[in-house]
Amino acid sequence: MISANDDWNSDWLKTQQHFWQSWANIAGKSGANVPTMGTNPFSPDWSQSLDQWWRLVSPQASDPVSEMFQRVVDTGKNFNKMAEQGFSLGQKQSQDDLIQGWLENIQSGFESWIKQISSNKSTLFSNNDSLVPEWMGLNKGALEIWDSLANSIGLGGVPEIPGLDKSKVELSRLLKSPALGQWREHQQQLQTVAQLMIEFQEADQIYKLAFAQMGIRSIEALRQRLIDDTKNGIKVSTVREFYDLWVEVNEEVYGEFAMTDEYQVIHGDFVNSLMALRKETNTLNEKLYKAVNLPTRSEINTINKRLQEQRRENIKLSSEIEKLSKQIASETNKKDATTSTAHSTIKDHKDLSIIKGVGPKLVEKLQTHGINTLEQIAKMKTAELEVLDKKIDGKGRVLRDQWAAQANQLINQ
Amino acid sequence: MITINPEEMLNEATSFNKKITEGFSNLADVGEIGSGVTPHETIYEEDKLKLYHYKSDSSLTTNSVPLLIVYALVNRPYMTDIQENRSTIKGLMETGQDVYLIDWGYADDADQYLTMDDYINGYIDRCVDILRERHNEEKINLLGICQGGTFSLCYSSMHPEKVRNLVTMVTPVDFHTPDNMLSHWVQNIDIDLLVDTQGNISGDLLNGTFLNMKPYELMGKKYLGVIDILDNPDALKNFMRMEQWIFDSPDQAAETFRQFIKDFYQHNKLIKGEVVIGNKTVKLTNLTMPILNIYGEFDHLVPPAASTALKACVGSSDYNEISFPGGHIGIYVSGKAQKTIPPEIGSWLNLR
Repeated sequence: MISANDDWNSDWLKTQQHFWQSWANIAGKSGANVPTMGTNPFSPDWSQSLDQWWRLVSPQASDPVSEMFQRVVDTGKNFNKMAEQGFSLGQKQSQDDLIQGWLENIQSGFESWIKQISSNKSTLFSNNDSLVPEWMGLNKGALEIWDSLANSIGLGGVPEIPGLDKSKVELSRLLKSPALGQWREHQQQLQTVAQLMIEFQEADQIYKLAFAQMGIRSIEALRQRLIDDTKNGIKVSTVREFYDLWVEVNEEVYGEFAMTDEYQVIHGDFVNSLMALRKETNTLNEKLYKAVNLPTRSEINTINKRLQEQRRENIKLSSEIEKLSKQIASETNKKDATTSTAHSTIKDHKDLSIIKGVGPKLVEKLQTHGINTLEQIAKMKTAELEVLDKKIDGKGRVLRDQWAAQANQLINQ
Repeated sequence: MITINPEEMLNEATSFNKKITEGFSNLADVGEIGSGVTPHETIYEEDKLKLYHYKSDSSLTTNSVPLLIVYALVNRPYMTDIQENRSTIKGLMETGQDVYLIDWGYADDADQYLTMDDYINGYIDRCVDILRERHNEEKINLLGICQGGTFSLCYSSMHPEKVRNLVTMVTPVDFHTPDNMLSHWVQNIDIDLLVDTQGNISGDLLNGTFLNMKPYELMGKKYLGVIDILDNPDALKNFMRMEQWIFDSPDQAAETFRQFIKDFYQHNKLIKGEVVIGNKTVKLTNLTMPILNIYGEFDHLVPPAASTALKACVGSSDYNEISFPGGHIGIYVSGKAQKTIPPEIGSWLNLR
C-alpha cells in the first residue's frame, strides 16, 4: 500500500522532475526534456540515476510494494549497466565490433575474477566480486544465499583470533604453535576454528572458481549462439533482446553445470565446510555466554526438546483420558439404565390392588398402616402377616390368599 | 545478427527508465493484497495449526464425504485460493465437495523438534478424526499437494481405514530420477551437520534454493517483464500476489527437515518401502484405495517421472493419472488449469 500521504502526487511529481533533470544533466544536455544523444562520447550512468531516483521515492512505498519494486529497480540497474557498457563501446567502435567488444569486456571481467580468486586475494567474508559485471545476475545467484549465511558468522560470531583477518600464511603459523598452559583448551578450540576457516576458504575458492569458469563458458555459448542466429537470419536489434538472449544462454549453461557431478561435490563441500565452521564457532560462543551467565542455544534446545516430549505425552494422555471418559460415560449410562429400570419397578409395585382380593378399601387401610408397596408385603414373615391381617381387619384373608407369595410373584413378573 | 546502435541504446535506456519511474505511481492503485479469497472458518486449532472449513451454500455440497487438503510445509497454502478467478478450492467446491484445509502456520524455534511422526500421525491424524466425527463418516477424501502429497501417501499407508479416496498433486515419490535438480544438489550435503548447526531451516534459504534452479529467469528477467505491465493495475496486482506468495516462506522444523531430506531425497526410501515414521513402516502397497495422481509436464521442482513412479508402487487397482501441460505452480493458478483440474478431481471423487 502506498502511504496515505496527501502530498503523494506533488512529491512524486517533484521526484520525477528531479529525476529527468538529473538524467538530462548526465546526458550532457540541460532542460527538463528527455535528452537525445550528445555529439561527444561520454560514459553514461543511467544505472546510477535510476538508483538515485529510487532512493528518493522508495520511502513513499510500503513494504511489500517496496520489496518487489526494489527487485525491479535492481534488475533495471543491471539492465542499464549492460546498456551503458554497450553504449560506451559503441561510441568508439563500428557496429560489427560492438558486440565483440561487449563480450570481450565480460570475459575479461571473469578472467580477472578467476585470477583474483586463484591468487587468494579474494578475502573471506567479503563478496569482492566487483570485477564481474553486475548485470550478469551472478551476485544474486547461488553464491549470495550461502554468502549471507557465511556473513552472518562474521557479524560478531567469530571470536577474535590473531591473524584471522590477515593472510592464510599467518593462520597456518598460528595453527602450528603449541597449545600450552591453563588456556590450552581454549587455544586448541581457536586453532580448530582457524583450521575450519581455512577449509571453508578453500571450499569457497573452489566454488567461486567453478562459477567464474561457468561464466566464461556462457560467453563462449553466447558467441556460438550469435553465430547460429546470424546464420538463421535471427536479428538482435535492442538491448532488451540481447539481455533476453543472454538470460536464455546463461540458463542453459547454468542448468547443465548445476546437474554435473562436479557441482554436486563442490556445492556439498562448500555447505559442509561452512556448517562445520559455524558449528565450532557456536560452541566457542556458548562458552562466552556461559561465562557471563547468559542462556545458550544448547540449553534452550534442551528445553524445547523436553517440551516437545511433554507435548507428545500430554496429547497421548489427553487422548487416553478421553477414551476412558467415554468408557466411563458408557458404563454409567448402562448403570443408570438399570437403576432407572429398578426405580420404575418400585413405582409399578406401588399398585397394591393387583393382589387378588384387595380392593380400594383395603388399599386405603394398608396405606394407613404404612404399607405402600408389594415389596413390603413380599418380605413379611407369617407372624407379621397375621399382625397385618388383624390391623386391617382382613379376617384371615392375608394368609389365606397368600399375599406374600402373590406379591413375590407379581414383583418378578 | 546484431543491429543495435548507440542512438537506439540511449533511446531504449531512456524509455526504459521512463517506464519504471512513471509506472511506479501505478503501484498506488494496487491496494491491499490479501491471502486467500474464499470465506472460511477455523474449526480446529492446535499449536500453529489451523483447520479451515470453506463456507459454501449447503445446497451446492453434494458430496457428503469431506475433502481434506494437506498442503506442503514449504510456502503457504493460499496458493490454492490466490484470487477470485484462480482458486482451486473454489473450483472444487463448485463440483460439490465440502472442502477443508490444513494451514500449518509458521514454525519457530520452539517447533524444531516436531518430527514427521508428529506431523503425520499427530496433526494430520487428529484433523482426519475430527472430520470423520463431524461428518459421521468412517473414511474421508484426502488431497495432498507437493510435500503435503508425500505426507498424504505416508498417512494413507499407515491409516488406510480412514481414507476413502486419495488425490495427490505434483507429489514427489521417486526422489532419484535423473532430472531432479533439488535431489542432485543435496546428495553431498551433510544434513545432520546442517540441521544440528542451523536448527530450523530458514524459509529464505529454502526459497533462495528454489530460485537458484533458474536464477537468471527468476531473479532477473522476470523483473524486467514487470516494466511491461506497470501501466496495467490488474496485471500488476496479480504479479504482486504471486510475488508475495513466493517470498512468504515459513521456516522448516529441524527434525522434520532432517528426516525428509535424508530418508526421501538422499536415500529414496519411500519407493523402497523403508521409511519408518514413529514406529510404523510406510508401505505404499498398503494404498488400496482409489488414487488420482496429478502432475505438471513442465514441473522443474517435481519432475513428472518423480510423480508417475507412484503407479508401480501402490496396491490399488483403481489408479488414475492426470497430466497437465504446465509447471509446479501453473497447475493451480493458470487459467487453463482452473478450467480443467478442479472439475476433473471433483467428478472423479463424485464417482467414488
